Amino acid sequence: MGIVVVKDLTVEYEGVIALEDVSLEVSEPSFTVVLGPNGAGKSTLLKTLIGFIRPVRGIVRVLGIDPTKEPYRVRKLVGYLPQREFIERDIPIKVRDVILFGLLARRPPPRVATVRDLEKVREVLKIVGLEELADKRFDELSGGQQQRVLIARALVSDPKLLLLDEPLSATDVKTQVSILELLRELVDERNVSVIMVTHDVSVAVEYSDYVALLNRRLLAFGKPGDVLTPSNLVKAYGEGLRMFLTKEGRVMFIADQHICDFCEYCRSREWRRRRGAT
Amino acid sequence: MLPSFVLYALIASVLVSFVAGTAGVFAVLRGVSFLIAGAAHAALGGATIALILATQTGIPFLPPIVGALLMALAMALATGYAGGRGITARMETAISVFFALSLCLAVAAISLVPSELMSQVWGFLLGDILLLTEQDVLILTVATLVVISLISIFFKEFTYICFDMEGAAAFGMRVHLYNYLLLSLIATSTVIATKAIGAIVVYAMMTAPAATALLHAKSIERAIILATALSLLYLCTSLLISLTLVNIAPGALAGVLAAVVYLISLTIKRARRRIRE
Repeated sequence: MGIVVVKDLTVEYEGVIALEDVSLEVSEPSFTVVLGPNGAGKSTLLKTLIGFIRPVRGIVRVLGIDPTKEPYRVRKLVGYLPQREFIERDIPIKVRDVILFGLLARRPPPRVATVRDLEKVREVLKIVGLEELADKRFDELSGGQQQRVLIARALVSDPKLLLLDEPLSATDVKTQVSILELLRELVDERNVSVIMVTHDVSVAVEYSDYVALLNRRLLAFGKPGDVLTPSNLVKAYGEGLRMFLTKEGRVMFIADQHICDFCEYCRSREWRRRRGAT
Repeated sequence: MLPSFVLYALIASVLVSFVAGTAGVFAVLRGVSFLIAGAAHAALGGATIALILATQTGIPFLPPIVGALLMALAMALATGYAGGRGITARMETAISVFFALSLCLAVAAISLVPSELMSQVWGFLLGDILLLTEQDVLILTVATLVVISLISIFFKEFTYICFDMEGAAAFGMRVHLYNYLLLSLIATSTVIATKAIGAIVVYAMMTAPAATALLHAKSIERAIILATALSLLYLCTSLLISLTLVNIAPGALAGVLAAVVYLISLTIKRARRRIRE
């Protein structure tokens, strides 16, 4: 049985059908990217896997456990990174304490850190390449370093599965590459499975083993080359998808309606010209 | 030897400083500082209703401070329920709705109070740190000890839900339980402080020292110590001024001091950042 099994899953979120008849199976260890436009149900899928949302119908199994019946059992075994907007980044808290959070929150009170816990923190900080920042305040780090610390927090309990909700948002291309290389290394060398929600189609092309293309329904699931075909991309994003080459030579696919403040495309001359900006 | 009313005022200042330092810092971190204003007005309504029940009907005696506590806790729990998953924007809406409700209930209750009891209502609205009785000080001491103990015991849990509630839930923590507990402790702290400094000034005294401390402190623990020290400084200074220089409400003066120091701290911090950049 795969590490994640979803069969005929239908989910309603705040009265609206967010996912309909979705079926997929992720085998371990692998790097799966969940793609789709805004409102496609990508985050809803992750929240259902971790037991935050109860599906209307369908079967969900994570590590062989049903998250609708035993959510706390699933949560203790899975590493999770929520979307950036849900994290309060101005709290005076040290990097070490952020990572300990990933261990102590899984235990009953009193949540006292042991020497072994502190060793574990050092170990995961080394994995994400930030071992010298343990005593730094989290809010003093760059956006990319913060994301790495949050990945370390998700990793500290040695999960077999990482669920990451847009870990690349608000980071520059260089940081994105370093995060993606780290995730690829976790899959290849530490046998951790990763399911990552992102808007960036090029990530799927370059780093993933599998791609789930969602737009409320699962439009395609499989190897990136099989899923990211022009017809599938048109089904997901509409006719206006364009290919774009970044300064670093990475291929990016951008939907016509895509507007953000972060990505290379939106900052590019082409975009400014199209918006009529000087 | 200090007169008893001065001694009680000093003890109350220390108690208010402790709750303003601890609960105030967590209220600011959780993004629910407006809950303090709502809980203070709910407390005013609760105290007034208790006063009416005690004097106008045959219902057994209910001390105004207990009525205040019950109403403020009801407001905090309703806010937690309506706030759902604890997203700040939703919490703000929930707090606004229950703040308005508390205010309406307080106004309705006050309109029923006979004129001879109005001075007690005004005491709760404006604060009466120099008029506290031995029983008041005893109740405030017990309530403060309960608040400080619970915040110390659940310090990590409260820190985690302030930092990342969804992450904490994803790691298996019963976040709603801790969220309700934190909101209840903030409401209880507000009632303690309201009894001493009044429903209007309590908002400034519980948020401004905490916000000032969070501008400078390197950790939450240090922010709590700094906010407590600042609150004590403002309250003692204003008590001294009101007893020796000008006959002015000490709670209101402390609130003004707290707000002015916050503004100065913020300006200094921004200027320093600009120089560094």
